Formats: sequence, C-alpha cells, structure tokens
Amino acid sequence: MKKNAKVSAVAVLAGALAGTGTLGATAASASPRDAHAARPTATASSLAGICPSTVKIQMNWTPEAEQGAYYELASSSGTINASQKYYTAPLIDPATGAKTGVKVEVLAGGPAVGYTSPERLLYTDSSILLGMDATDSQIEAFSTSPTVGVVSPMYTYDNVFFWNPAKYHFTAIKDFAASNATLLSFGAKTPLNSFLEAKKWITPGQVDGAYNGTPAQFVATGGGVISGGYATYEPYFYAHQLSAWDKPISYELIANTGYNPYSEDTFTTPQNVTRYASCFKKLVPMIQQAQINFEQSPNRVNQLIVKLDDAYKIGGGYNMAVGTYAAQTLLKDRIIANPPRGGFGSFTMKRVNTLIHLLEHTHSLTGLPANFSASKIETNKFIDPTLEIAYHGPYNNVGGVITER
Amino acid sequence: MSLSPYAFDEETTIDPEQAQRDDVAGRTPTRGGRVAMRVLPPLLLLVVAAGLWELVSYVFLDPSRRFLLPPLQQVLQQSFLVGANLSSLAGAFGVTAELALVGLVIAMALGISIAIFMRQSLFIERGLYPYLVLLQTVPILALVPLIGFWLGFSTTARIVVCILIALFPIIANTTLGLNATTTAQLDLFRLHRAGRGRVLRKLLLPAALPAMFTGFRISAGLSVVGEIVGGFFFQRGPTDLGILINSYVDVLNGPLLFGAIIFSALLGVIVFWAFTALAKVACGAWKE
Repeated sequence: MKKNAKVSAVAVLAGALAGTGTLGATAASASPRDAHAARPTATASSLAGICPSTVKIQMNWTPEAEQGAYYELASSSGTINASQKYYTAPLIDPATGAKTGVKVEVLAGGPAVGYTSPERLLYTDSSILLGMDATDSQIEAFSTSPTVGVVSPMYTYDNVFFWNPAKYHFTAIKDFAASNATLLSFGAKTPLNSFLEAKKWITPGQVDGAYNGTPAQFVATGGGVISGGYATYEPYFYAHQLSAWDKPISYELIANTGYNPYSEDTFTTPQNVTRYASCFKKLVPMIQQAQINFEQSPNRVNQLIVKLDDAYKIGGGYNMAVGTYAAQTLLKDRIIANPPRGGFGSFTMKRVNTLIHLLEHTHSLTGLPANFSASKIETNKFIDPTLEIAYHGPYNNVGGVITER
Repeated sequence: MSLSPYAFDEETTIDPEQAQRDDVAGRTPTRGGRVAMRVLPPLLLLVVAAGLWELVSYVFLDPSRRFLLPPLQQVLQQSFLVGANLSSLAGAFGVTAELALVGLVIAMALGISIAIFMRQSLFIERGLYPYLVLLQTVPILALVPLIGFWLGFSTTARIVVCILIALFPIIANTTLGLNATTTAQLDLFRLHRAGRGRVLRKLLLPAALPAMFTGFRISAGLSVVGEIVGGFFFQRGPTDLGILINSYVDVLNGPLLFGAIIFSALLGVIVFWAFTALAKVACGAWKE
C-alpha cells in the first residue's frame, strides 16, 4: 500500500520540549508566538453553534504521524469505531486545553474508503466538513469536486524517491534518466511523472506505473529499482523494520525538483467557506496550533495513532518507533516549517500558481475554469498569522540526497 | 435393482472406467483399496509439491528473496501454530465465509427468480439476456468505485461484489436446466391440465436441479473470490481474508501471506465439497 506499517521509541521530541532533546527544539515558552502561547480565552475556545456539532475531517490515509494535527485536536477520551474506521472525541482547543463544545471525528482514508479521494468524499457525504489531500490532487479534482484549502499543516511536499545506495550513486533526481533504472510509481501518467519527463530527468520508458506501495519489487530486485515513497516512512521502515531488506536506503525529497504541492492541503467545499466562515475563523488557528503542539510533544497522539491502527486492522500496522521517526523527520527535513511569511500553516499563493502553471503545461489538465489560479483553491483568510513553530535543528541534507542508516 | 437414476447412493455407485480397468486386471478391489486409490494420488502429488516448494525456497532463493516463497514449514508454523496468527486468520476466514455465503444465498434467490422469469416468455428472455451477459462482461474492478459511492465501503459493498460475481452462472445454468425438459414431458403435463405453477414445481424445477447445482457450485467458489476481492477495496467492517492479505503484503510477511492464501483456498474447497454433497442429496448420485 501507499503508506503503512509503523513503530516506537520515546521522545527525542519530548526531551526537546524540555530543552534537552537531540533536535534542540526550544521549549514552549521560548517564543511568545509559538506553541502554547496564551492566545485565546476560554470563551474564545467555544465552537458550539458556529461549527457542526461534530466536525468531521476526512484523512487521505490510515492514521499516521503526518496526521498529528487532527488527532491533537481530539481528546484521548474518545471512542473508536473500529468497524467504520473513525475516531470521535471532544474537540479540544490546543492553545488552552479547553473543551470547545463540539466533537471532532477523524475519518481514516485510503483503504478505509476504497481509495476514494477526500475531494470526492466531501461531495458524497456532505456531513464531512474538511478533507485533506495533496494540492496536485486537489487541482486535478477541481473540475468535478472543487475544494478550497484553508490551512496546510505541512509546508514541504513529503514525497520522495528512494533507491539502493549500494547500487546507484545518484547525486540528485535529475540523474535518474541516465541510469535507465525502473522507477516505481503510483500510476504511469501522474502529474509528477509528466513534469519530470518534461524536464528529461526521467524517461517514459523507465516508469512502472503499477506500483502499489509494497516493498516486494524493490526487495525482489535487490534494490534494482527506484521507488516512490514518503520521507516519514520508507527510509526508516526499510532500514530498520523490513527484515527482508534491513539495509540503508538513500532518498531525495521530490520538492527539490520544483514540484512542490502542499502534502496536507486541508480543504472544504467552496459553499462551506462562506457557510462556516465563523467556524473556520476559530477552527483553523486551532489546527495550526495543534500541529505545533504535536511536533513539540508527539507521544500522546502517536500512542493514539498506534491504538487506532491496531483497532482498524488495515495496512501493515503502525508502531511508536515509526511514529517517533516520522515526527522527527517532519522537522529535520523541513516538511513542517514556517513559510517565509503569512504564519504557520498558510499558503504561499505564488507557489500554488507555479504548481498550476506546471500542471497545465506538462500534464494537459482539462476542465479547469478560465483564469484558474491559486485564489480559487486556497485561502489564508482564516489563518492566524501570528502563529509560528519553533525549531532550531538539526536538519538533514534537505537540499540533496539523504541516507537513512 | 431399480433402473431409476435416483436409486443409486454413494455406496453402490460404480465407476464404469474403474470397473473396466479392474476387469482388465482380473481383480475386484476391496473397499479399502478403492479409498486408497482415491486418496493416494492427490496425497502423493501433495508430497511432491511440498518437496519442490522446500527445494525452491531453500536452494534456489537467496535468503533476502525468500519472502517470494517462504519455506512451507515456516508457513505452517507461523499460520497454524502461533496462537495470535491463527486467531487472526481463523477470524478472517469466518468473516469471509459468512459474507460470501450471504452473497451467494442472495445471488441464488435472484438468479433462480430471474431464470424462472425468463422461462415464462421468449420475449422476456430475449429482452433480459443481453444485459445479463453485459453484467458478466463488465470487469468487477471497474464497478468498485461506484459500489463504494452508492453503498459505502463496508460489508454491504463486499456482499454486492459477491452477488455480482456469482449471479451469472446461476442464471445461465438454471435457464439451461429449465429448458432441458422434452416436449413430450410438457405435453404430458398439459394433457393433465396442469397450470404454470404446477408445471414449474413438478416438472421444470426438478428437471433443472442438476444444472442448477452445477451453477451453485461454480458460484460458491466465485462468491468466495468476490468477498476477498471486495475486502481489498472495502475495508470498513470486520476483517476478512482480503484485508489480511493486503496488510501482509504491505510488510512483506510472506509466511502469513501464504497462510491467508491457504485459508482462502480451504474455504473454496469447503464450499465446493458442500455443494457437491448437497447436489447428491438433492438430485441423487446419478448426476455425479
């Protein structure tokens, strides 16, 4: 599958909160604008009457650390619906810890919904308020299922290409074409592949679009292929948990190529943007804050995520080691980071317009309205621009090749 | 001895080919000998296959690639002797069996009804049949997203996949069976002024039973396949063998993947046997 199993270890980040962690993150009080900054009052926490009584948020995959912000909003005293694969709990304002008077329901995606996209699900189940998917998927779906992003808890695209460093000595993704190595991809004619082919960094003949996310082909060929994956999962899983491989792999963030959608563009329908404007004005800053809180202390939510994956029994299972690795990697690879301006979780419209332009010219998108631009699919009007995440390294070699040992 | 085809039971069934071979050899096999002749060939084949399996796994496959065909003893040990694994597999086996059976029963009811309906007039048969063929030819995977949108991603969707995949053989075989009666038999009933209902109950359906059971047996296996395929896509609801297979593939757990495949095959064999036995009870041994 696209993403799956995962695992445990405690707390480098928890230590970081106390100023002793290996990541060197600052304590919550280090900046008046970060993490637990005393922003809203108890009254400001209330979402009752302005949001649906249960705020339903549709994920694009099974529970994993990348969805930390959404589970951070949920109290630990919720109920798990193992059969229908969702978690319902009182929605807690992460800035104050106060109850908001509504519930949050986080719905698992991917295999839990027959791999139907969150964009589509917003239209088949109107009780879902928010969905989460990558911006390129959002653009592709716009002609049939238009959505508007209201916050992006992740800054950099978390997809990677990875390979066997003992076999290939790539210095960058642009070296792929010369190697003529098979590239495993989720579908042959993806926007990303079209972009890379236009750049001549890969050739159409290299692409094997039948990849389903499992390690089988990579391992069976002795690492003789290049594979798509996620910075937060495959590097750790292959190097430490996949007994049939158990060796280092190298990877590079696809964002380095210039193809850089928001991985977790969190959106709603255009009608809801108006209808629930008062709700989003309070809820969106809570999502921003929740992501910041999760990165400062991911253990509670990672434990919840592991518990949910155990209960849901889909995918390969998740564990604390993978969850902890993912939470660290999100910071070390600058996947979770502050944008140059606009506040944590905001969209950079120029970046989205670049993506639209790139997709229109390399992927022949059809059905988009005339003068389609970032303002049609993203809005920053609910973002609290004062919120920022505090992290002072260390960082991986995010501009180039990273090897997980 | 009665000449009625219904008069034979399994104890008195004579395999003419075997009898001829026995005659040629000038011997009369004992009952034990007959059983041995039935059991030994598949058993010997199983031993040879197991030997080849171990050979490929241990000799031809590098340890790093052994997940492609994990050693048989490892598969059996992990799947049947580790309590937690056996419990998962047995639970999923039960879910798959239950949903496949529900789908099959609905497909049987629908299939028989449609076939009887078509038997009522050539006009209806000619009207319906092309669409039934169309249903059979549409790849089920192409319908999966639609089924999900319409019915959600849980057990209902999985049952619908079972029905869709199992329906056609039941309709086709029941239709074949209903049309198997001779004109003379029908004339006899007409001569006795039997109504449509009576002709159906007393002539058409009994005559169609052997063909219907052939359809049930084919569809029973297909229903199991449909449930497992449904589990790949509709993973809400209880964990079935399809969901387990998916999760084992995700982490390259070869032994348990093969364990799940063994359980799937076991279920297919059980339903095949069950319908063979039912056919014997319903139609007598002559058909078999």
